[in-house]
Amino acid sequence: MTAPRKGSLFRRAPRPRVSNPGPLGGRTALLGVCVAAAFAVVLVQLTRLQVVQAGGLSARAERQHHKTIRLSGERGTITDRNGRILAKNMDVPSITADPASVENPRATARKLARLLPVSDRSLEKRLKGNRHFAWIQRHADPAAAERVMALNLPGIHQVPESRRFYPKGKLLGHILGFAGSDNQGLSGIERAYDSQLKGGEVRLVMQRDALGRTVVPTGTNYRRPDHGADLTLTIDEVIQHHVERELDRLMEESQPTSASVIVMDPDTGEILAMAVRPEFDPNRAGRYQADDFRNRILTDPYEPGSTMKVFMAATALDAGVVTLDELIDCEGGYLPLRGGAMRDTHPYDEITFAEVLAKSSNIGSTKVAMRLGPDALYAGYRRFGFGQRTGIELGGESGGVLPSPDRWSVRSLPSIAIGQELSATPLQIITAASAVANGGRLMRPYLVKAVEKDGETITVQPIMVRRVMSEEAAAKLRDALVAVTEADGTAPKAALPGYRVAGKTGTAQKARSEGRGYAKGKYVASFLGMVPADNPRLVMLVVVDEPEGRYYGGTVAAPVFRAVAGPALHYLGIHPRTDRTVVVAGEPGMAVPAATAERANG
Amino acid sequence: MIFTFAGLGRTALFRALVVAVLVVGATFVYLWQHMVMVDLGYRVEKARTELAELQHRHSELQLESASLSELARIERIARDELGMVAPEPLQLVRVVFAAPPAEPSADRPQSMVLARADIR
Repeated sequence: MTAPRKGSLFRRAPRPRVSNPGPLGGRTALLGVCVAAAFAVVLVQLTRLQVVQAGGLSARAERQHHKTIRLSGERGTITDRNGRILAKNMDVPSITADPASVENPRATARKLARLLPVSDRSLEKRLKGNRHFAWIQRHADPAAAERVMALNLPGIHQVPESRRFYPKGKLLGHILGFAGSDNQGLSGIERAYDSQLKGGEVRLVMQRDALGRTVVPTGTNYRRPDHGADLTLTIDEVIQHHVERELDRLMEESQPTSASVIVMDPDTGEILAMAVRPEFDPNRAGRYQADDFRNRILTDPYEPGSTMKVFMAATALDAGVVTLDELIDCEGGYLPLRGGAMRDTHPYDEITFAEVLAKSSNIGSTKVAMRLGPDALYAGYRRFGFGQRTGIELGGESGGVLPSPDRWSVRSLPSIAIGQELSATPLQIITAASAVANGGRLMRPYLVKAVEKDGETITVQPIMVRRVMSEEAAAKLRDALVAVTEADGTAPKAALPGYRVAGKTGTAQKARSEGRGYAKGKYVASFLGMVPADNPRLVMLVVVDEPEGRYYGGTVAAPVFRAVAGPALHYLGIHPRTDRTVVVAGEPGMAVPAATAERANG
Repeated sequence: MIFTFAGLGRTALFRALVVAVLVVGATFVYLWQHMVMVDLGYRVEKARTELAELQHRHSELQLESASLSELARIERIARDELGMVAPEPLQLVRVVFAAPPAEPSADRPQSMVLARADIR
C-alpha cells in the first residue's frame, strides 16, 4: 500500500488501533458459532418438543393438570322385613404403590410387612419394577392404613375403596351370600340381585393446581352416580335369630354333618327364616371353601322319607280314594310285596287312616297309595311341585328327582309313597307343605319383599302357582296331622302348650354314595310342622343330616321346631290358649297396677 | 418511525383512552371471574370432602348400630351378664289394655305379653 501524496484531497484514513486483530476476529467468530449452535440446539429441542413429541407431551401435561376420578354409586343396602340392616357398604382404605417411585423396595417392604398382614417377600415382589401401580393391601384395617401413611414412604399411597359389610356376622350368611373385592355379587342374594344392587359409575374430570389440589370440575355435565337399589327381604331377623340359636344348640348336641331350618308364611310363600349349618360368615368369605357357602336348603335334594306321606295323603284325600276315619289293615307290621316286604317299626293291625299318619305306618300308607296307583300318585306329587324347581330367586336351585311311572320298578310305588326312590330339597317340601297349610294353594317361595331405587319402591306380590287340593281336604289333613304331635304320635316333643300343632316326622335312611341300597346307620331326621293347625301362620321344616346318637325325626328335629315356634308365635302376637290374661284400663306402656299384678301372679 | 400524540385530536385521544380502559377493565373482570371460579372450586371441593366424610361417618354409625343390635349379642348379655332367663310358656301373662269406659274409644283393645316377674 502506498502513502498518500502531500496535498491530495483525500487522506488515508488512519488505521484502527488494533493490538492483535487476528485472534480477536477468531474469538468473535467462535462466539458467533457458539451462539448459533446454542440457538440451533434450542431450535432442535423446540422442534422436538413442539413437533415431534408434541402429542405425547400434551397428553402428559393434560394428565398432570387434570385428574379423572371414577365415582361409583354405592351398592344397595339389604335389610330384613322390618328395616334392620343386614348388608351395607362403607369406604375403607386400600394401600397402593407406585413401584417406579419406590426408592428402596426391600426396606419399604420390610416396613410395610410390620404393619400389614402381608409377607415382606410378597411385598418386595410387588414393589419392584417400573410399573406405576400395584395393590399393597385392599380393604386394609383403617388403623393399620393410618400407621402406614404416617411412615411417609415414597411411592406408597392410600385410596378409599367401598367394601361390603355384614353387621350380623354369620346370621343369614348362606342367604345373603357375599360380594367380592370389586363389589360384585358372588353368591346368595348378592349374586341373584347383583344387577340391581350395584351402583352406577361416573367418570369426572377435575382440574389440579400446582399443589395437586382439585380445583373445579371441567365441563358442566356432572351428575351423581346412581345408587344401587336397596332390597328388603321377607326374612324376619327375630325369627331368624331363634332359628340360628336352636341350630347351634342342635349342632352341639347331635353333631350332625349338616342341618337346616326353613320357616315360611304359608299364605304368601314369604320365607321368614332360613338357616344352614355348618355356618358361614360372609365377612370372612375368603376363609371358607366353596362347599361351605352352598345353601343346602335349595341345592341339596335328599330322600325325605315319611314327611312325603303328607303329600301322598293329600293326593289320596283330594282324589277321594280314602277318608281319615276309614280303617286300614296294617297287617301286623309285615306286608309281603313283589320286590321285597314292607315293614312297620311298630306293628299295627286295623287302624284309621288318620292313625296311619299319626303313627307313620309304612304299610297303611302303601295300601292307600296302591288305591291311587302310580299315575295318580305321580301326578299328585308333580302338582305339589316335586321334580321341578320352585322358582325362588336364588341361583343353584335343584328340582330334585321324581321319576315318571314308566321308569318305576315293581317296588317303586310303595317306596315313593313313603318318601324313598325320590329326592326333594327342603325348599320343595316346605313349599308343598305350605299349600296344605293355606288350604290348597301352591305359592311360589320368595326372599325379596321390595326393591327400592331412587325413592321408588317396587313391592313383590305373592304368586299362586296353582291349586293343588281342595280347602276342605287340606283342613281335614291338618286336623289329622295334629295327632302326630300328641302323646301317641311320633313327635310329642313338637307340641306347644296352648297351640294345636300339625306335623309329620321323617326318619330316612341315607342312600349309599357308592353303589345301590342304603348306608347302615346313616339317617336324615326331619320334622315338618304347621302352627296353629286351624289357621297356620308358620310352616317350618327342620332337617338334620346324620345326627349322632338319637336319629328319629321326632326326637332330634321336633324339639328344634318347638324351641323356635314358641317364641316366634309370641313375637308374631299369636298367643297360646294357656296364656293367663288380665284386662286393665289404659294403654300399652303404662305401669301395670299392683292389684292386677297380684291377680296375675295369683 | 416515531409516533406522537401531537397529531391526534382530543376526540381521538379520548377514544383511545376509553378503549384502553375497556381493555384493561375487561382483563380485570376476566381475571376476577377466574379467581372467583377458582375460589368456588376450592369451596365446592371442600364441601364435597365434608359431605363424603359425613356420609362415611353415617355409614359407620349405621353399621355399628346394626352390629350392636345383633340379637345373639343382646341375648348373650342378658343371659350371661344380667342373669336373665327366658320365661317358660306358663310364666307368661297377657295383659289386655282396654280403653276406660268413661272415654269410649273406637280402638280395639291392645295387648302385650309380660313375664310374671316383669309385673311390678
